[in-house]
Amino acid sequence: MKKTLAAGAVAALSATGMLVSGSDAFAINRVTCNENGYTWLNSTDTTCWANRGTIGVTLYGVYSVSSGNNTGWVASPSGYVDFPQKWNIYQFSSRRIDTIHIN
Amino acid sequence: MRRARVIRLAVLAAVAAVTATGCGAETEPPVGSIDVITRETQISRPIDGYLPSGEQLRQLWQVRGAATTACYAEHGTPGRTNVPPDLAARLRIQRQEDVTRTRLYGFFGPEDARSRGYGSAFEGQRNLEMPAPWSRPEVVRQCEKAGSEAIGDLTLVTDERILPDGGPPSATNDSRVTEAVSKWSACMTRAGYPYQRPIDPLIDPKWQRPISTQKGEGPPATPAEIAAATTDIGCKLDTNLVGVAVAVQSAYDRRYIAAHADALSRFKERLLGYTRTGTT
Repeated sequence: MKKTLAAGAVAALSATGMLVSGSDAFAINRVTCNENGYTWLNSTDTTCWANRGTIGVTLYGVYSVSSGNNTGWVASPSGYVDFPQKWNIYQFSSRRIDTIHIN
Repeated sequence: MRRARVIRLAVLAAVAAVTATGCGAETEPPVGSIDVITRETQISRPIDGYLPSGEQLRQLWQVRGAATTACYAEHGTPGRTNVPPDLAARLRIQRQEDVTRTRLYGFFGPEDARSRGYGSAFEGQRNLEMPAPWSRPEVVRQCEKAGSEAIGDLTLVTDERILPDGGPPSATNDSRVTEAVSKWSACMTRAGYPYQRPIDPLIDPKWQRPISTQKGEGPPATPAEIAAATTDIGCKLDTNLVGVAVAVQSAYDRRYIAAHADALSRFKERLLGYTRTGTT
């Protein structure tokens, strides 16, 4: 049922010309960790991310997210961890992250 | 003669560069009357009317989520969703916090400061971990991408950054705002909190209380944090920092709206297109 609904929605969007392939000038990208407005994925090899969108990554041993001026979620094979509030730190058990999404 | 021509060309090139980069539009816009703001409910901006409604955002989340779920099912992982169960409440709180926690004037929640310090209305409300059936990493990447593409890679931030060109420029560096910030900073310093920028207390490690994503909450605010937050609010009231900042930002909003009339119209149509076809 959900699949049919989603396929219908996507088809409708295609038909109305609403599908836009992603060349967003503000697309999410990795940045140097020198600004607390960025989203920090903390691990022994901390990475930082700016702008908005979804990106596939492979980051091992991530144990917290400092949201910066952003909200979003990270996905691992076992599910999602939300960071729904700007300017906060979210802690969780260490895990591999496969996808980062910044709203 | 040749040297004079080179100089003329250089001057013309410099003028063209300034024009091309839009530096000519970077003058500070005129500001109208400045209201005295003592509560967050008084805060409104011209750009607010151009933002998608909470219901539109919820529908966009649903369209994206349905496409993602369908992709997972196609790859042998049925029932995996990235849409949180309390989405509507979450969007409502995010919208509130777009007003009460900003880089422009920092934290401004006079009531919350007395009970939660710099803490958030999110605390204790939800489990922030959403388990999902296992899926291969390449499938996770592919399906999350498919979800985003289903809404044209529109990113669903609740604030003005969702708008064309990232919304109005921030007034943070406007001289009228920096002057008000200086007064606020002096007030805070006199009270024993030597912060330079309004955002500084919000990101001060002393007041950061990491939230456990399993419990959805962190430790409670300490009396010291509550004292800092209430002092912060007091200084903002004394200097009317929020009133000045909102008035100046509104001037930037108006200039952006005038310069982006067509783009904002197209954006509105684009949103309507998605939400008309959205799932519930």
